[in-house]
Amino acid sequence: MDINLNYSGSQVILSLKGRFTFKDYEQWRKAVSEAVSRDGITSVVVDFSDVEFIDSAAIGMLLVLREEGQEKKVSISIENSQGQVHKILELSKMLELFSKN
Amino acid sequence: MIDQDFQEIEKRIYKSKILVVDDSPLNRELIKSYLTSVGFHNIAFAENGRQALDIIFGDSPDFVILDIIMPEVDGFEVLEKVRKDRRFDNLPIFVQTALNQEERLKVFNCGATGLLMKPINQAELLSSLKAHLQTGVLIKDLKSYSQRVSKDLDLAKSMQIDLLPNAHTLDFIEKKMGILIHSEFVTSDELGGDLWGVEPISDSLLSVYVLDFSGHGIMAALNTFRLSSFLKQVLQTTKSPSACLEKINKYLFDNLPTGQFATMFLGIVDLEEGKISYASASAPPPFIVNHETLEVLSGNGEGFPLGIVENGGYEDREMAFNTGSRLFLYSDGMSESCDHKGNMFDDEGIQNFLESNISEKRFFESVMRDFRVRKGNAGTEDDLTVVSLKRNA
Repeated sequence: MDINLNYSGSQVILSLKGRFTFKDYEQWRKAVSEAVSRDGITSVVVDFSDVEFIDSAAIGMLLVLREEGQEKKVSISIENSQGQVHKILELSKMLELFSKN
Repeated sequence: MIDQDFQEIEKRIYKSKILVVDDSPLNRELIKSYLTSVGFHNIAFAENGRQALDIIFGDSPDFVILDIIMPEVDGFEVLEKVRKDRRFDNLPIFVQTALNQEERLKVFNCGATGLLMKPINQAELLSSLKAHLQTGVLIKDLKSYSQRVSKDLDLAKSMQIDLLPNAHTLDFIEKKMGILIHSEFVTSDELGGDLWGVEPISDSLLSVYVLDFSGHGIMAALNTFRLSSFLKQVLQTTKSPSACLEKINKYLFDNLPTGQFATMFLGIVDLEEGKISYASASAPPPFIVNHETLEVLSGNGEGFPLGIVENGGYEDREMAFNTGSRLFLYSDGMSESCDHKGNMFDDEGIQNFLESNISEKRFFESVMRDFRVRKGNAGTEDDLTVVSLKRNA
């Protein structure tokens, strides 16, 4: 999976592309810690437009992000999920969980 | 074990057994003095090829220094005989030589590990010797390490199988309750993060669950062990599926690190009422296969995975379960498998397998055969659990 970070003001958009699985753990941790710890960031948007597949490890990684966000008072949201990815995020109530931030 | 201290290895190589083969007493003494002066003391000597072979096959030395031109059995013959025996593939044999180019080639063709130029130089001898003995020690360590780990994993695997319902329990449920259970449990590594079980609650109530920890391998397996005893206790003391899931959720929320979680289906079969009440924590949807009306109905798997939020708010749901019906449960290892073209089966694909086999006599076997035939090699390798409960009476 490719991860791109786009900063605009106090918001950062994490654009994901490809298959989001356990293999992405290292780069996900790196991207997340960079995004969340930059000065002045108050909101992280994870853009799922181009994600074709997620496995359970990806859900785990989202949860780690959520916890880091809560610690650093940064709001996290998930957007534009499609197909199987959307179904899994819905089934696992991740969309609901992340909308409560 | 693997990042063992270099000094420790250095110490161990001096205990190695070294065989010196030479027909000249003077040469044997010379080599012996080279070796003992730096601390090697486990040295054997052979005066000819025949003695050398006896010692190699009898004592398996760690390193051999071999002369070529000897009476009776010469060095070439020793090499040939030793290299025919696979047990000595890794035995370093260094040949002492003053031979010409052509004969040196022959020495290598016969299986020599290296050459030592005559007259033997101490520094040259010791550097070859140490390098090969170090490798030998490391290979031995790695071998014993991997043998130990694979033995441990085999044991752990059989312990994990022991967590699942045994034949005696399944037989009891078939005879007492008229419910025939089929299952399949395959781990992608030696150990897996799936677990399933059945617990009779009374003569007419039976609980059944399929659980899948995030990830697979040893870490996920440890979680199944951690949960299994707690699970038994909860199932016997809690009335509704949603209340059970709530308790398990709280337990995992308190005990799992962030990022780890489990999905779970938990149902209670009620034979008197002809229904299954169930709750789900993000498990794949349960299917009811009715072999009389030839219908396949999908349940609802929605719910927070276990261990993520403090209060999961799980819901109790219901499906009819009459004589001739079957409850079909699976972990996402089945629905997230892909066909030969790389398309994921998804829950709809599983429903298709069930519908197309609904009239088969050996339904469960047919569905699993279909699944295996249609499944390609692509996609994520995950643990696979499939459980089917058929109500016969």
